[in-house]
Amino acid sequence: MDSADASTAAALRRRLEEIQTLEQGDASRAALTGRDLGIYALVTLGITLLGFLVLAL
Amino acid sequence: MSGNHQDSTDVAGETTGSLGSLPLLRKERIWNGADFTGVNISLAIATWAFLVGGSTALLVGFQQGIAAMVIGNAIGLGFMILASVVASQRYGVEQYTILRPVFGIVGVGILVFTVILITEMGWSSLLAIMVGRAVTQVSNSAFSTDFGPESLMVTVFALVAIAVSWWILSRGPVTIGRFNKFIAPGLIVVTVFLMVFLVINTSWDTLFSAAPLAPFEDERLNFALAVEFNVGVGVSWYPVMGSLARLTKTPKAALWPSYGGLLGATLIAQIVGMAAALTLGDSDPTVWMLPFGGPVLGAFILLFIAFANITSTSSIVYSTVLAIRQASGNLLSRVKWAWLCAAFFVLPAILAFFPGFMYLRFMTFVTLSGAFLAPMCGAIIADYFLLRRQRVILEDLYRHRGESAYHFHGGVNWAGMAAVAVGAIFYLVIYNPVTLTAQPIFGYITASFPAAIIGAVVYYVLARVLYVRRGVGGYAPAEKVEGRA
Repeated sequence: MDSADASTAAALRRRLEEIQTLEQGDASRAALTGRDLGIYALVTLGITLLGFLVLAL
Repeated sequence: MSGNHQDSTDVAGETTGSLGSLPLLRKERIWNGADFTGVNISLAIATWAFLVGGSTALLVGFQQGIAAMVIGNAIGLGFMILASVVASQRYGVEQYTILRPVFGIVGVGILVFTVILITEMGWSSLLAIMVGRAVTQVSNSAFSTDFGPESLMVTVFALVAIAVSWWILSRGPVTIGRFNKFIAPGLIVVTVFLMVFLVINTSWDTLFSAAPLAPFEDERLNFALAVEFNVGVGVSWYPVMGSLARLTKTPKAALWPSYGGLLGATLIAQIVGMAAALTLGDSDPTVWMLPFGGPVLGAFILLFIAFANITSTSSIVYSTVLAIRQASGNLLSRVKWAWLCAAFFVLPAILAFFPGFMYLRFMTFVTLSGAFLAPMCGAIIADYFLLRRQRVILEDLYRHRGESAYHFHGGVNWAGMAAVAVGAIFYLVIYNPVTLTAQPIFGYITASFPAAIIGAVVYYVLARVLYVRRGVGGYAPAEKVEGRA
């Protein structure tokens, strides 16, 4: 394990095991869906366009 | 800033040193969307937002300034959050550890000791100088002294601020958290105070017709510079966001509160700051309070701002020193926390001897750090979303040298380092913030966002050529990676 974490190597192993056995598929570890990313991109674009609208008014 | 975060680590019953690097478990993720929105609002309502608003007023008037702030922050935060928040949240891992697949363990160290360290040192010295200016303003008002904005007394109080920041920081995260609990609401009150006094002392007509304070001749360039500056401000949140987001319970509780909380609060504070600067004809927030509040209330607010800056400094330095210790491997792991913090403050203390230079070069410093942070973000996005499809091998983030899939060659992912270098060179060619020379195209596309895209493209191409095709770097098929994560 990482030398910076040498003193906590055991704690790290415990955590990795717990994540693997109990948290696979948990909502806290879900990936963002394509829909989430699409909405995020659209919102960012929309706010950017709002800025241009302020400029144009 | 990260005060709530740090409190939570204690609640979790871990030392900050260990939990600083270990992946969090479900029970340790304590923030829902509303909690994290509050954290982000208290991050954004800080004195630097007033400073950014005031500095934007140097280039453009009120209407163009609002547009530049909206566009710049929307874009800068947009890609910064994808790069910093998403992976750290999913894996519960501190943000510089989760960078190892993109830059390699040595590469992350190089970036932390250069880009991140210099960025945070610059902000620290600037906040300390702001304390010096605030306190000398109070002294001039209360005791009829005549300390100028670049006088030695500004440096003296800036050094005192750095010493107090170090003291708070060396006491540990719980102390920082305690101070931040009343600093953030206090700064919201200061923002409301500024709004009320602006409404009383000025009119919409006056605001909309106020000329920028120190513009260049070319109007398009002024607007592009203002947008670029605000993109840089959005991107400059990078060094702290991932390590906060890992405490959230779900990906959506990290993504939207980061974007909405930072964007909304930043825009309000910056717009208020810009209006104050245009009304009083000065971009320095420490100059506004006495004319607006009078000698007693104004002095009280200035002293509060001074204290807020000290706690803000402690908060941002906390994350950075933790990252430095992480990135150094064995080198700094045995150095006492207080000494490490003291070492961090050496350069900010030296910079405090040049208060005029730091204020004058504030915009340069923000945009220059953006020149490196933007392509970094681009490379991270290309790695995590395009090449790895949001999957990282958790164990390999912590394995030694050749045992880790993310060791690459000599601990460096050369695709990542090249992406940052090429993106930064592109940035500096089309806009050089030091010499203030810009290519004509800068007026249309600015620099940070295209630099981020270039960083992403360079990373994607090089990573495929150097690593993916050779099976190096853990860019493995999804099923295999999923099984190990």
